[in-house]
Amino acid sequence: MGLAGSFSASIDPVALDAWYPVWADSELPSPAARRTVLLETELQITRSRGGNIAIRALERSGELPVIRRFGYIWTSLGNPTRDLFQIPEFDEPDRRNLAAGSIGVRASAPRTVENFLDLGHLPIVHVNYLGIEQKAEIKPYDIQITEADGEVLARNCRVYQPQASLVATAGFEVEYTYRVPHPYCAILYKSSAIDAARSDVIAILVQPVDQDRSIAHMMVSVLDDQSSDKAIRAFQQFIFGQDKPILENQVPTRLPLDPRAEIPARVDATSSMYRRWLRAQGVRYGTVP
Amino acid sequence: MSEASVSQDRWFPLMRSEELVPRHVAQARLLGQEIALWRDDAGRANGWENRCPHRGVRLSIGINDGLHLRCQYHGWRFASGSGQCSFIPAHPDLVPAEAFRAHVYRLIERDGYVWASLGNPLTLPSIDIPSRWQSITLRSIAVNVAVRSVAAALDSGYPDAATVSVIDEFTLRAEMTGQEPGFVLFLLQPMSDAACLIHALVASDLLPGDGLSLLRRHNAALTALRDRLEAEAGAS
Repeated sequence: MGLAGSFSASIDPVALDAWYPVWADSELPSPAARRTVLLETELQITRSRGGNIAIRALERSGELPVIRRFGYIWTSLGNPTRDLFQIPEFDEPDRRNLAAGSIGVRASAPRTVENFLDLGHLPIVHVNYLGIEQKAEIKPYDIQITEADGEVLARNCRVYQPQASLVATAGFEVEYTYRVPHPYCAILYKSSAIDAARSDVIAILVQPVDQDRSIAHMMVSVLDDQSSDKAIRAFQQFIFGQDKPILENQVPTRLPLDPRAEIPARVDATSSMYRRWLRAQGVRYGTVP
Repeated sequence: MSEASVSQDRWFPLMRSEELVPRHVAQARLLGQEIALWRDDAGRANGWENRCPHRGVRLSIGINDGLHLRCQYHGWRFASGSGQCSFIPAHPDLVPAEAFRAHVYRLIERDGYVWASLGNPLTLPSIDIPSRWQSITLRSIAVNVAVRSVAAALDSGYPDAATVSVIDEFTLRAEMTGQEPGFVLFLLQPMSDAACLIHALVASDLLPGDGLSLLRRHNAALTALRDRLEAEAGAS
C-alpha cells in the first residue's frame, strides 16, 4: 500500500496520488542533492554523477517514482493512477522551452492556480502589460469540461494587451485558451505576437508545500528567437511578482469550494468551473471543502 | 484556562479619529475579525470586514479614492456607507447586484475615538472629560493576553493612582495623584481571545507644557504591565 498509510489524514487520496513538480531539471547539477517539501513531507532529490535522479522522502525508506517532463522533475507520494498530462507543443522544434522560475507563495496551491486562470485581474494587477484599465472589459467566453480528458477548458477568451510578451511591439487583442489538466497545474495558450496562427504556452505547475503554502513553478514554451533566456525568465517573474502580494492577502489562504463563500461575476466562469471541478473530484487539500 | 467569550453586542475602540486620515485604509482587529477602516472625502468613517466579497483579498491593501474603496485584485469599487459594489471593470455596463457588497460593521466616532461593533451594540461607555481640561493620548500598547486579564491587572492598581474604577467591563479610570492631578482612561480593544490593545489617555487641568515626561512615564508603566502579563501567560 505504499507510503499512504503514514500520511496526514488531511491529504485526500486525489492529492496524494497526483504527480507533482519538485525541482527544475536545469537547476539540479550533477552530482547534487537538494531538499524540498511536498504535502508536508520533506524530500531529498539527488542527481548522481552519471545523471540518475532519485527522490526519497526523509524518514521513510524506499525511493519515490520520478518523471522528467516540461523541464521539471516530478514525483508522487501515493500511487499515481495515471500518467502525467501532456503538452504536445513542448516538443515542437522551433520553440523556446524554459523553466522560468520557482517561487514560494504563502497561499494554497488552488488559490495560486485560480489566480493564473483569472482574466479579470489582467488589466488591473498587470496594468500596462497584460491589459489596460480603459479596455478592461472581458467578453463572454466558452467554458467546458472536456469529454476525452475531463479537463477544464476555457476558450475564446479575449483581452487587449499592450505588452503581451517580450517580443510584442504593439498592443493587440490577445486570445487565450486555458487548460486545467491537474488539480494544481494550469496551462495557458495565448496568441503569439509574431505568428498569428500559433500560440505561446505558459504553464503554472504548483507544488503544494502544505495546505497554506506552495511553490509556483513556471514553464514557458514560446515562439521567440530574439530574447535571451534571462529576459524571458525575468518577464515571467516580474508578472508573477505582481500576483504574489495579492495571493498572500487572500483570506482564507485555502480556496473556498462552496459557491456561496465568494461571489463570482460572469468573468469568473473559469474560476467557478475550476472550483466545481475540484469538488467533484474530491480534492480537498488546500481548499475549504 | 477557559473564560466566557466577550460579547459582540457592544462598542469597542479601534483607533483615534485623527489617525484615520483621508485617502488612507487602516487595518484593525476586533474579536478575531480583521477590519478595514477608511474615511471618505465627506469625512464619513467606514469599518468593513477586511476581505473583498468577490475573491477574498484584504480590502486594507485597496485604494481609498475618497468615494469608494477599490479592491486591488479586480478593481471592483465599493461605495462608502453601504459597501455596495458600484463598478466592475470587467463588466463596465453591468449594474452590480445587491449581493456584491462588502460586509459593513457598525462604526461611530465619539470622544476622539473610532468605535466598532460586530453585533448589536448598546450604549457607549461614557468618557466624561471636564470641558476645560486637556487630554493627551498615549501610545496604544498591544498585549498578547486575553482582554479580561488586562482589565483585571489594571483594576488591581496603577502606578501613582489613588484608585482605579471600572466604568464598564473594558473601560477603566485611574484617579491620579502627584504631578498631574486628573485621571488616566484605559479603553481596551480585544483583538482576539489572546490579544488586546490598550488605548489610554491622560486628562488633567494641569498638564505639563510639552507632555513628554508624562508620556514616557505612562508608556513605561504600561510596557511594564505588558511584560509582566505576557511573562505570566507564558509561564502558566
